[in-house]
Amino acid sequence: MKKYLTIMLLALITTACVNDDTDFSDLINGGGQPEQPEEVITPIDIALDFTDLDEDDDIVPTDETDEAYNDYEENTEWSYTINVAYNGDEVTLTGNTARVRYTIEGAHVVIRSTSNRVHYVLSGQSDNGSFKVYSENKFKLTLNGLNLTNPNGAAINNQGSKSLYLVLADGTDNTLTDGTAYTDTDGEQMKGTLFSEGQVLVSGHGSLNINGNARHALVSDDYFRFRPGCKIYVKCTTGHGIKANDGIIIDGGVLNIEVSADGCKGIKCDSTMIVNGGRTTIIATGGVAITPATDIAPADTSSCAGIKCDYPLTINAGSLLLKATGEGGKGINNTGDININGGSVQIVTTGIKGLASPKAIKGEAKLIVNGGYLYSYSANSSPIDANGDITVAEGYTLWETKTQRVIISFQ
Amino acid sequence: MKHLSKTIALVALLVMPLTAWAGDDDTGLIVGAAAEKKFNKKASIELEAEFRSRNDFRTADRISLGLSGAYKPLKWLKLDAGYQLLIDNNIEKITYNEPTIDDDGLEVINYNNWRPSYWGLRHRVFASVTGSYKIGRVELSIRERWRLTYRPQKTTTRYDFDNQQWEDTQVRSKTQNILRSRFKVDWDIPNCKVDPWASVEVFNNSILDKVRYSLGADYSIQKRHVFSAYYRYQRIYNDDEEGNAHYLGLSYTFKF
Repeated sequence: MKKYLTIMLLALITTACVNDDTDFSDLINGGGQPEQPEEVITPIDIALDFTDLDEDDDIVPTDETDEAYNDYEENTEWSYTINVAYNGDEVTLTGNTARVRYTIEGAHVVIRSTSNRVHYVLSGQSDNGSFKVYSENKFKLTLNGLNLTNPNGAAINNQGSKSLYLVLADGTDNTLTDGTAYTDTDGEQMKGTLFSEGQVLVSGHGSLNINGNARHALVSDDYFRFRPGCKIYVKCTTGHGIKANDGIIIDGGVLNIEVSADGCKGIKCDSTMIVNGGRTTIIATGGVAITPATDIAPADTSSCAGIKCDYPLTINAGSLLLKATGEGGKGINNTGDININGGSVQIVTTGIKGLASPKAIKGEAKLIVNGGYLYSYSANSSPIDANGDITVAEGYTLWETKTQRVIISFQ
Repeated sequence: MKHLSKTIALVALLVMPLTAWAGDDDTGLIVGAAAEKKFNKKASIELEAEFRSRNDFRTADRISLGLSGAYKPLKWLKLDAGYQLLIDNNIEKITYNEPTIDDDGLEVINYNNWRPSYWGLRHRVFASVTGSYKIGRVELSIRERWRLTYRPQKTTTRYDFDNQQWEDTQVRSKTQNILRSRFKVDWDIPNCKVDPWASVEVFNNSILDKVRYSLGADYSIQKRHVFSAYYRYQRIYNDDEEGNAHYLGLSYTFKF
């Protein structure tokens, strides 16, 4: 028995004394200690930009087999118009009101519709009103100079799963605001100031200001498409600025987004996101949100970000300007690949490194730069962190890597 | 001294051929010790500790401590469950950027990040059912074991080659469910203290994860001391962090 135990003991002490790490000592200076930044770099200034953008209108597809065909309200003949005029604590419905059933309580309107091709035009002002639609079919909603506040929930609430064509009437200013506490309806969701179960397709040459004070600001449980011409300003103090379950497509327009709550994102997309144009500016100022441990899960942390996307994020054209100032705040935090094929992506993060690292780009997968312009700056961390490979195509004119800043340009 | 020399020679004889024979596969050592307390013919508990090495026996891979209980409602049926604390030496991870071509036309490796190996904890619970059947002095058994392993989040460091700096990195928490299915044959040789055995065990994690083939022998002294020596080949089918490996195993169990 002693001999066997001796064998076991010797087997232990004669093995397992050597590290199997690769020897990188010829590539790594400093003996494992973090190095100081080689120079202090002053980043570019990123601020909300409400100036007009000189952009062409998009081309409306005419081929019904085009997968985007149904995203364009121009491809539907809207036969029935219902005007909804808010005036303080009252609201008046005129037009083809016989096509739908509706109830009015103060300035709160609930529409129940089985009709097709209905076009609602909302205008006026109310500090205690809302517009809620149960529709079995897609519908068009034009905001024609509307200033609507619902102290108890969403200002606009689409409970139907079909398309909502949100048109900002040319030259109009529109504002939607929610209250600080929601009164929920059993069995229904109401995730933000403008909430839609179906896809939201935004067009028109007007402007829309959305204030989120309780949950998120602009939410679709389906997807968003933003078309050239629209001007949108989102300000949310409690949740994400824009949130979509099934994707976001930005074809154009001017989007300004401000979020300030801990852990919140300017854009939170649970599916693919594509930027084809426009100018999107996001300022995220929140810190790290901490989810306490439970019996079944450990504590978790989430930092704020300009864009958080769980699937591939592709930028083909347009401008993305992202700034995060809170602890660990990131510009882009992506689970899927990040593809930059064109356009301009400029990111600045100035937050401190604490529970999270303030990267300009944090990718769980690949970062692929095939074109365009990428500027990434992080005051207190490395600007780019991709767990997958970082691939830059041939033909770039500038690829500068510094401790705080990485610039890749094909221009 | 003479005995010690013989023993060292014996260990070397066991280890060296295995390393040479393994080729590209890794080789390692598993050394275990356990104490088992039987309350009666049906119930028992066991406290065990185990050490594993990798990198052709040169690097410590894992230390584990476990406590389990077993119950035999029928002579041919055994139920057991337990907990293990695993202290792992997690293997290094290197990521790469796109390679470039130098002036001589040769491909240049561009490193992205290097996370050196690091020690971390895991918690594991398991429950299993074993059915056995005797044919003469040969016992056939099948064991189905469900295993849940939880790795807490861990902050470690990595070197960022692009920015030439060390930085903190979070290794995310992870939970893994595995179903292990083992078929074992034990042979009780008459009038012999050495009992050989062989087993094959399949690990399923929704898809085939790995298979272990083991061949060994137990040596008992007065039924209180059981020594085991075995060879194990581990074939990996779906695991980024483990490779195929040959193991030499030694264990001792004290029963009281």
